[in-house]
Amino acid sequence: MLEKMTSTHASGTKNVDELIPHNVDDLFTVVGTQDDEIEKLNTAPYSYWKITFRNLFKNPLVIVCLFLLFLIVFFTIFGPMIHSFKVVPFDEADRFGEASQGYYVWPNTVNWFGVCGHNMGAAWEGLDMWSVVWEGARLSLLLGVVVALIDTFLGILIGSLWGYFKWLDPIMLEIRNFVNNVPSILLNILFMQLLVRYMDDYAFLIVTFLLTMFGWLGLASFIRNQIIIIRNREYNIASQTLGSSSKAMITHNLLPYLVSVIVTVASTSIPAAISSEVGLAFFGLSFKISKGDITLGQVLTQATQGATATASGASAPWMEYWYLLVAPLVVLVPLTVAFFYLGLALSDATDPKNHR
Amino acid sequence: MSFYLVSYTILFLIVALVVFIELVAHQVIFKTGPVQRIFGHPLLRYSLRRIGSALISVLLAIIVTFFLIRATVDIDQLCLTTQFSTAWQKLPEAVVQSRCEIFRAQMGFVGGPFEQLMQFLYDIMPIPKTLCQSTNLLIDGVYYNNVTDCRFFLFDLGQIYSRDVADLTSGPVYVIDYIGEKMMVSFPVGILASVVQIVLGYPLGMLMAKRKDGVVDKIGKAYIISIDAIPGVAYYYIWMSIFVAGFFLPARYDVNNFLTWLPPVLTIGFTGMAGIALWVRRYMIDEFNADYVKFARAKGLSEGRITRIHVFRNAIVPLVRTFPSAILGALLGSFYIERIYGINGIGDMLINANNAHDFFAVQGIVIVTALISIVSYLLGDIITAIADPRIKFTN
Repeated sequence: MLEKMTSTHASGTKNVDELIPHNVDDLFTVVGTQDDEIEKLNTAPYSYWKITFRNLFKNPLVIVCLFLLFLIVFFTIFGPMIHSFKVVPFDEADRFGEASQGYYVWPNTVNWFGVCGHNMGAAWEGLDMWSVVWEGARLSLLLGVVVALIDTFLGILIGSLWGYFKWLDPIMLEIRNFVNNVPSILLNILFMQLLVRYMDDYAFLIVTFLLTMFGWLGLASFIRNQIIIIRNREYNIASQTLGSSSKAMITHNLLPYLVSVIVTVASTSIPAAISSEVGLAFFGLSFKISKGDITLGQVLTQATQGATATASGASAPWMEYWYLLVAPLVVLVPLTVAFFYLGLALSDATDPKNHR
Repeated sequence: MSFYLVSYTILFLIVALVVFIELVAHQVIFKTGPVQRIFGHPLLRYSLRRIGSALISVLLAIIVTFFLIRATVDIDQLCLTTQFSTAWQKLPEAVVQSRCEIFRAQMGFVGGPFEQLMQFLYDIMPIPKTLCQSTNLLIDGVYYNNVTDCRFFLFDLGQIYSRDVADLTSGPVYVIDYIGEKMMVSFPVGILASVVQIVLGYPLGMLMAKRKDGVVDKIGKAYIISIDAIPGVAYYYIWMSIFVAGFFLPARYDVNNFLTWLPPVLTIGFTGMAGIALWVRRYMIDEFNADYVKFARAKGLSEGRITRIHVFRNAIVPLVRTFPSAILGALLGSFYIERIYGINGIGDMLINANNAHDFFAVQGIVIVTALISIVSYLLGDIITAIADPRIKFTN
């Protein structure tokens, strides 16, 4: 069948050379070899990070986000210094003059964000909201960055191993099932109770542990899926056939492909960690102000629940003194949204598909 | 002894059924005929395999949380610190000790941790058992068990022993009953919220996909980003302040007043709709770029018809998976929302039970949560298979 077709084809058509008369010597000139030209590319010079940043700064919203973040970081450092009162433990004898009568004070020229009042708990009475909010933002930001770094590191490490070694699969899937099946708030409460028994003085360590306990799981399972896809691509199989080691294959063949994903997850996990801390604080599982630590989550919780921690509407302090709710939100919302949007913009900018 | 016999018989029957199905599926026995058609169905085998691995996951969750709670609670001090402490303060030490002994026996805190775990696993297995509640009568210095109330159980999740969790004045409260009761509190709000999410989320996602980069798409994207970025608690309070301060709705939930249902339902609904809209948009845009849509356009079908009949039907296939979890998840409610609006549902119960170290209440919620998550996952798979004829259950 095939033979028959080719024979008819050959007899039915003519060679191009016969149709268009020309002289081969006129069409081509022999230039010989030019060794110094071999490595040159006749395209515009390309640098991955250069194009990434050019794409990133093309977006005006990114500039706005960066400005907001700069502002927030500036105030977390200098905010409590610029103005008014430092946060002090409750039992310090001399509290803050007229503002410390235990009554709520609306925002004014002295207390820019108002003053915490009597039914917010003994440790909160008379604290200036401005300094409380910025102190809280400082610890929240620090916690967010530390947690994000640990999560990203663990996620990349465990995800690469998980994708690479097949025998890890059942174990990791069982861990993932466990996390999906048990309410996370219960796990947090139980681990908190367990850890507070033994290391009550290391609140930062405990909260970091709670947030990173299973925080790496999302990134790890994403990286695992990507690695399984990339592992079976031709270039990796070629590298394997040529005898690359496991380490070289992970670091040279797989991870560069994942840079875009990793950068994105790392930047969105900062606001995620800050949010998680707010969630923990809502159930009283975060830092304790009696030990001198304040986070934004605590400020929000205290403003909305009061000392009695009933959390229910009518009696909550913020219902009457709404500046208590607005003050932490003014910092919390721009902080998380700016980080999150920056992460999304980074994911677009670092994606090689969007380059050129 | 007879209970053990029944339990082993049931377990044996289950194992035998599984072995039978596997044998039929591998065509060792009943190679053709109606038995093969029914028991050799790939869907049945797939479901069985999934249920098997899911049961292992539940078992793991139970065992890990069992030992976690044990590590945080001192069982020996439990009866002194939880329910009776105020009433027993004036009693002599020896009497308190002996009452504690009886309390521990009643609750199943007997023997070492491993022994207790085995007892607990036996209790929660679907094995018929009868439990009797006994009060202790002190007659002439000797305690006598006075059996008052016997009940038949299939699953026994234990009793609640803390007064902070449930009202214990009118007899014993069994965890399985109490969880059911609390679920019925959480469910109406949860299911209404799911309805709001779906009713708002799907049209929003469709609109965003249809006019990509249009005004609706941009506003929707901004909304989704803000929901993702802003901490949940902050978000719930922003909505609450809008509802309560802006629209003068009541801030506290009351089951008899429908007006008080609105804030929690709308808060969950508005928050959850963002996630739904995001996925609907993404899947619909994927489908809009498919070749069959270009073909349909070339054949002259109207845009509305393409969207409704062709794109939406294909885009919804990966989304039907979420329906069972939306419905069953409504039974559990939202921990944050229940606390904010004062709904005494499962979330509220979990926090109270944990604060009061009520062992069986916490463990019961873990079991119920794990079961619901697994069942909804399994149902999601089955519904996806029904919705998408391309899916075959062969490995």
